Amino acid sequence: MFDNAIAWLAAQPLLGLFMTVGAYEAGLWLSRRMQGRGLLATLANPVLVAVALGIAALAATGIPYDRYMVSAQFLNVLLGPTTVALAVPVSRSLPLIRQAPVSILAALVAGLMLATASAVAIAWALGTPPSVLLALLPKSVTLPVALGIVRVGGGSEALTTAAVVFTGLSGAVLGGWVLDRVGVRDRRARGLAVGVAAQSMGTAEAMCWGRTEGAFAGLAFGLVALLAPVLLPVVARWML
Amino acid sequence: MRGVLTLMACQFAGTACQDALHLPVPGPVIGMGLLLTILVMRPGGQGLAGTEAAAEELLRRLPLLLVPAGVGLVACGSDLATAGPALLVAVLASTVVAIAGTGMLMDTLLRWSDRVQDGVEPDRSDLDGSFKRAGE
Repeated sequence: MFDNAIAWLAAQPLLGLFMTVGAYEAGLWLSRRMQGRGLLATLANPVLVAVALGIAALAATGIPYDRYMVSAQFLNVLLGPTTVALAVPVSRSLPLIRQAPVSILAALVAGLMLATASAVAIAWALGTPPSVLLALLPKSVTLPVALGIVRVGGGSEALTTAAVVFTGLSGAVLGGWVLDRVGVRDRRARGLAVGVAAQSMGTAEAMCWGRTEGAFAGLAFGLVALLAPVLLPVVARWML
Repeated sequence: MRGVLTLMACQFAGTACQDALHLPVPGPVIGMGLLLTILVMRPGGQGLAGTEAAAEELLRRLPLLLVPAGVGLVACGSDLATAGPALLVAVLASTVVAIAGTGMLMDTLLRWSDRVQDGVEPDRSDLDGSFKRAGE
């Protein structure tokens, strides 16, 4: 009876889309409930919750990922136009560059290289195989663009998603504390640092710190999205 | 729908560029550069309002669009079991290193460039003190 029900579910093309939207709504609900509870609020990230629920549901029912993707892939396809859409917020924060163009671009490129090289070097030192290292490369790039980069490079999209989401979470949780520790007080530097290292999640956190921090984080993550696809293949050829 | 059509057209143009020139840059990112150029060239230009509205609508839903890729982790169980802990350590450590390094570098560079600009400090003010979190 139960097996029959699952076989029936697995045969429904709508299943993946239904599951994804349902899991996402559950994630939104949980993140609203956890608002203002510090670390819990950050961990109750809707994407993280929805992914965990989706994985749990597939693992529990034994429905293969291919079946799930029959309709869930439509959401995946929309990542392309959404990547193009990033041009709109970037065009709004672009005038900020005029404040200190050389400093901003230099710190941006150095920060991106540092984030990438340190991640790959540490994972390599811990014995991670090169195929997995490839998925780690775009970890500090906003996810739709990061997925585009691994698709071109031939790495695992799922591992990249995990790496990017954990990067964003850890940057949002630890960013302020790390910057305090190393004595960075300049609001522009604080915003840029979390924007470069922790993309949109870092930017969301920086917006809570203040308007200057938020604006510079937004500028940083937008420019990283534009620069990373050009710079990272060079790093890949050099490191892997 | 014309706004969405513009976004998709940019992506198609970008992907065509990528494939024709064998670039390592994803088509949608080239499309983003294309749209950015258009937006900067004619800020607030007619016909772009629809595109901006469509872009904002899509970006609001971005987190939902990312879920299927993440659920794909279910299909890389063996990779995760062997490489998972190392990846976690690498991600955590490199994020801390990158934030500290980028912050310190930017701090130093700004101090230098503010001095060069001879005291014209555009945005060091505390105008947004009210946004600060309690206890900070």
